[in-house]
Amino acid sequence: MIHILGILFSTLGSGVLCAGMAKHQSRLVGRKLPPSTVRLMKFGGFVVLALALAIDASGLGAAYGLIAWFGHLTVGAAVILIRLCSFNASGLRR
Amino acid sequence: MAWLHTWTGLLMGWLLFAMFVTGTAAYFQEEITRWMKPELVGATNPVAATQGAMDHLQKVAPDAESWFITPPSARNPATSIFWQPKKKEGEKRERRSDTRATLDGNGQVIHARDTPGGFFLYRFHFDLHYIPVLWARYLVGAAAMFMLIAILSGIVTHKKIFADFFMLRFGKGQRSWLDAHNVAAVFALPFHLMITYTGLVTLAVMYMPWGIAANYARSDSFFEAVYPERAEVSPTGVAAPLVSIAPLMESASRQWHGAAVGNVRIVNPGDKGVIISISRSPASSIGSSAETLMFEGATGRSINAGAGQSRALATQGVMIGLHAGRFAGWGLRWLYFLSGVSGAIMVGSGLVLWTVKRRGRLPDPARPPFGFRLVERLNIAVIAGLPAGIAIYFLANPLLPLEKVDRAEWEVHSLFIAWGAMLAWAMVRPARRAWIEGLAAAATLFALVPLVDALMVSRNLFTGLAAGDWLFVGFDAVMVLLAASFACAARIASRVTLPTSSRMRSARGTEATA
Repeated sequence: MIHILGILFSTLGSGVLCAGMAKHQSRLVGRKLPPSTVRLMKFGGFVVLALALAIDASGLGAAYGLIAWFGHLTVGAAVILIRLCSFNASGLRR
Repeated sequence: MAWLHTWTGLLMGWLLFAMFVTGTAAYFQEEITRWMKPELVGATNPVAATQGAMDHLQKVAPDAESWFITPPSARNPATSIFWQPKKKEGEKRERRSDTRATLDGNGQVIHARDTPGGFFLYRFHFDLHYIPVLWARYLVGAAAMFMLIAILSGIVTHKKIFADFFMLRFGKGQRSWLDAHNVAAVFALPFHLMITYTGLVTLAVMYMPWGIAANYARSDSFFEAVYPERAEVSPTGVAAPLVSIAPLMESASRQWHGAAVGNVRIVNPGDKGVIISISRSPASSIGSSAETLMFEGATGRSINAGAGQSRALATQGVMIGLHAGRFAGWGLRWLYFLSGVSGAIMVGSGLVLWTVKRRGRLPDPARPPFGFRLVERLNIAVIAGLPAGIAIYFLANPLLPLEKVDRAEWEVHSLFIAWGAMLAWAMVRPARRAWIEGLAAAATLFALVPLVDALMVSRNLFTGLAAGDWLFVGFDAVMVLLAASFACAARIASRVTLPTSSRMRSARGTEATA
């Protein structure tokens, strides 16, 4: 259960961070975002990732939670990457 | 720094790939063993099973030097026992199979099929096979050291870790391979760093024996000082019966705040000087050096084993524990597994990248130089061949006759025969065809595993689902997923068009990406 929450928050965090990057913005959000929003997203993305750590640590204990968090970060980033790739693939087909 | 990354990565790349693949599989070694031994079923009470095992040992090996009992756990329903017969004058110790057995919850011998199970994949990860263990461990240690250098120099070489974090472009040849290599490396970078460093720590005492050599006359005295429970105890010669094990195990568990017992060792059974050591289950804490409590086996009195563990040893234990992941529950175990898979992808894509990068610069692509051909063929033989070999290993388990002599050995041989055949195939076929055929062969073999298992062992995905037997369902699902991944890879390989007029195309390629 904690793993699902941890992965959810890591995915959310990496998603926000990714959407804040100029290269991927158009694919994830569909348009260019103003610089103030981008700054907010960069900050917010890290906050959500930190929140994932807090969830893991409170659910599994500090030691196990930290280990799990690294795994959750990997899975979260991978989910966003797969999403990006599927956007790319559909873009190619069009 | 790029050259350092390229050459440290290439030289040990094939061995590292094999270590990543078997090590990743070893996170599920208990589950693989259970799949390969369908005779083991049901759950049992560890305390009763240990007592049953002691009663059994009392019958078959009353005058052994020591007994070693691993009670059933959440991941393994059977009790494993091992006993050391009294040493005869001048006898050389060897690994023997006649002094071990698998028991059920009542101490009755289970006649499960003879198979090394997941244990073989675990041992291959650091002991390899067919070569002396000592050589293997030095080789594996050198590979791990190269890996550490490759990771660190890779971080330096990859200048845009954050800017290119989510960058994965398809269909752009070398650029795509570099993206894939980067993503597999960066996404699980904490894991890769941890696993490489802690891997070296597991055998650090062997690679760097000087600390012990400077402080102890014999290395044995170091180990006796560190692990008092392993010290030799001479029998008194006076016979005495053993106490019952239940109160000792319960008291041990209480002292460990409810953690389970991992194993029980009984030295000098039947003698008045019998010592019972009870070690905590490795599943109960990150640190691998399990706490051990010692008892007088004739009276049940607790023996004070002396001072607790030093901080350096505790640190080492935690590092080894982090590496082996024995503490990990289901969620964490899958995370370990996925990170390991990303490590295999990292090494594999790096190896392929070496050839992709150089193919464009070959003076005559139709006749590449020997070194290039060798790397290309070894890549095929290892990246497609080893997984195919492992699939054969899983296929040999249900297919080999149960009564075959040296059955367990032949399961292992089958892996290497298949792997060798893949190597030979990769050497004689044109490289591109060999990639497609090798990957397709791996896909087919993995797809066959659940099918053959369903035919031979009368269990399948559907009966497994119906019985809620998640272990078998999970194993079959992973096989199907692996088959699909290799089929996908074979399809991609069949679509790739190799550059024909190399120089011009690669020049155009760099312009386009720049």
